[in-house]
Amino acid sequence: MRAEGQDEAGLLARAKGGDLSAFEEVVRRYQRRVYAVALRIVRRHDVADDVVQDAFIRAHQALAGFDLARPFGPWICRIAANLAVNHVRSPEAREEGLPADHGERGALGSDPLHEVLEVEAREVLERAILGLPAEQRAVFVLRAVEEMSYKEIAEALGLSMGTVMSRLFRARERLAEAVLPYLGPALRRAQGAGR
Amino acid sequence: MSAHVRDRLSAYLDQELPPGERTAVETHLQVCDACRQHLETLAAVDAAARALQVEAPPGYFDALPGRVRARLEWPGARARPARFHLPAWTWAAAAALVLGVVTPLTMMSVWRDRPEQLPAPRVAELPPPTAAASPLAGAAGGKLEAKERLADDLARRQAESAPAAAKAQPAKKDSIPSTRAEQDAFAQPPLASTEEYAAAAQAPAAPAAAAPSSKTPEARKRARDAGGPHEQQQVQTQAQAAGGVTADNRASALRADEPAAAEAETKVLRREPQAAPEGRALAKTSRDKDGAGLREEIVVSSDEARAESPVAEYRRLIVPPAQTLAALRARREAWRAFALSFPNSPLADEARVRVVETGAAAWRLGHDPEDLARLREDAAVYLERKDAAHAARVRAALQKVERP
Repeated sequence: MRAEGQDEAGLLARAKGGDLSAFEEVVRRYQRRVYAVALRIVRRHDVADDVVQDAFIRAHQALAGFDLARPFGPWICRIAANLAVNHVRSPEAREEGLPADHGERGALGSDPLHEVLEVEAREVLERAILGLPAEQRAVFVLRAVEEMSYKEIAEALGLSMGTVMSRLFRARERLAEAVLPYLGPALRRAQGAGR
Repeated sequence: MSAHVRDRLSAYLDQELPPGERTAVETHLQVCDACRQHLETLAAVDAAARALQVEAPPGYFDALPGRVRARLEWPGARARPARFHLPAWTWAAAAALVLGVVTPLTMMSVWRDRPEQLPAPRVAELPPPTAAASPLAGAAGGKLEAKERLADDLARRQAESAPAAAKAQPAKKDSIPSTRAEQDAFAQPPLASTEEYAAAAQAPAAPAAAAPSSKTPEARKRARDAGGPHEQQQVQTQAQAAGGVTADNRASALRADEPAAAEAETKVLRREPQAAPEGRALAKTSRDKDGAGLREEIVVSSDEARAESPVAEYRRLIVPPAQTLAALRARREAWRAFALSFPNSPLADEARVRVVETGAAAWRLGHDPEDLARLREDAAVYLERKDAAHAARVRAALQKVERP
């Protein structure tokens, strides 16, 4: 882990010095994470693609001022989230319908009923996340998926800490309501396994 | 369940409550099953959300780093057709404007100023590849509209290519050298939108289906002639650009499984004469196919093999990533030709690495054992070089193929 961190710092230092190959490698390492953040907020692959590319371009432009002691992942995700939220706030953003499903289904377990329930639960949760208002969705993704602190989210999206807290509360309440029928059995199984 | 406490459960879960409130929630949780269960539900929602997979269209992540790099190296390489669809006629009009107005003016200027031509840049004075290919620094990532970008890039390319073109063919007044081919190719909007990319990645045969499928030169020309004005213009352009070497001469050297895609890619080679020490063999490649010992050559005439700036050639090759199997193979050979033509250029190492990386992309797309064999051979040759500056990249490309 430590070596990986040093390796990343070295890559970023080279990229900072103008080595595009190093930056290309940085993009390769973080592209899935950044894409996931962008897609969960903007919901459309074509827009997410724009957001991801723009996020990396902006990061490259800002590398000169980037402190190499800081982790790159949260920074690039914040840039992407910011661009994604700006997009969904913009008048031209079209939030029509839900996007085509690119979701990958995980390997199924051994119990067919559980398989069906879990697949269905994932679909319900996905739809519920995509159905959140865009700004609640952004806050939820940054907290629950990216595990950013409230302060980081507030800085990234230009919100107060109180707004972050309230949007997150509302988003979670809606999601919990949507998936509760599916989470019940899952929770029971988890509790049973824990005993 | 206390409504006040329930309001705080989300922040409690995130450990974002002030100490006093946190203690109050903990005290409440010890006596309230409903709140405790709700907290578990909230935690389960987060965990389930984290576990959701996000998958992009096939091949997207293979191409994205290269697309970002292409934008950094050459901001004009990417249009935004998803948001900014120009009608087809605007591209045609831009090309016509260039062909009808800009090119003649440029040529007049070239002929008028011929004795005072600027010397070609010296390799030793050129910046390293990354710096040379980073016009973004000047552009500051601005999102020019597609029309403006097209005009800017055409103007830049005119400025770059005009002196070299005049130098290359001083006696052929009626022959417009490479510039027209460049303009023809450059007037095509780059294949950059996700939809186009996905369509190209998933249906590599699509361009070929709309284009002549025969592999013989005569049949290709017949089909092109029947293909309407655009195809006819392409034939003219290719003939002019080749300057005595037939277009098929080089296309055949690129093992074009899909003639249309390969020819489009071949224009990268064809556009500008390149330096060759003896003025004859620009690049030679050999490959074995089923033991048949197929040997291929890319040969240019001595008239055509004029010294040209490797930077200009490099910039022409750094175009939006090739997206079909035939285009990838052609691009690989174009990089190989570059490395052989400019072996002492500071850009040669990058070209050699790109031979391997493009070969790896071709293998991933087509899974043709011949591409894999070629990739291994190219990688081995590169890694044996004492001046290999990017061995790690080559090893990574190889490793990704061997152990995907």
